[in-house]
Amino acid sequence: MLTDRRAGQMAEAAVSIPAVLLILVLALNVSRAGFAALAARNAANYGARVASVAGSNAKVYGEAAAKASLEQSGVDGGFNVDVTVSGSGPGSVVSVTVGWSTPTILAGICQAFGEGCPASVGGEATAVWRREGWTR
Amino acid sequence: MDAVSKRRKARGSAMALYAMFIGTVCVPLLAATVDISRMWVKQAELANAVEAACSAYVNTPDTAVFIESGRTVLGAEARSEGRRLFGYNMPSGGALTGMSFAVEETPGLALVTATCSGRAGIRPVILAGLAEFTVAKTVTVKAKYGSPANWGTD
Repeated sequence: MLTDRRAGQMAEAAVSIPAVLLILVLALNVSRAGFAALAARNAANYGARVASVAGSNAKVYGEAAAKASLEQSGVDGGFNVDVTVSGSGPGSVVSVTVGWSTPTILAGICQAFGEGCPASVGGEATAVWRREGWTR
Repeated sequence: MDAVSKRRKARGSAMALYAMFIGTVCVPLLAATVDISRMWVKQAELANAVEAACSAYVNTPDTAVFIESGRTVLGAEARSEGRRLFGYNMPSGGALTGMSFAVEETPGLALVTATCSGRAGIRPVILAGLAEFTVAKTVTVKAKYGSPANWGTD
């Protein structure tokens, strides 16, 4: 009788625990993506800020600053930095776009069920700053 | 109550507990993770937009007024420039709620302090029943302006 009751509880737990674990894995995945998005956003902001005060070579300074910020964040994942400067001198606009992607932990679980999940999730963050200085 | 009835009653209790745990702890945890992550990213986006706007604002003084009277004024053009940069950085919405400046004049040098504020709303994705979150940011940017001979140098 005792064994029968234990078996019943075991069966219920076998159904319920995967659901709990799946939700926890989802939460973990979402927070990883959130951290990557935030790191990309901060890097874009910093890169654009540095490029806006660079007298010359704004593109180079902006890209280097954004990459340094990403490295400092310590977030794993793939990032790419793109800097565009429209015009030249004070008053022109510098735009830094940081693309991010982070692997999904769920991809492996989906494969186990024969279904495909995206291997990674991603997005991009763009910061646009006016290059400092006065124009006559 | 015989043993069989007791066993039948006990069956399903673990499942109910798990369902309660999932409903009251796990799902709200997941919802909070999604919405708090979005709020952090939005806050960083807003902070950048307000800083970029304020930097543009403080860097666009009215040169005609300066030449004419020697006073440093951030006028309509500066406001327009600030709004333009805010718009570039917040394409998904948000508002630049205030831009003001103060000038401390000394011979040959003007110290301009600009203060800008902005806010943005985020509609929760999962906690849809909740009201919209609002994030706000105020920044102060200082700039020093020297002789007009240096204007426009890169």
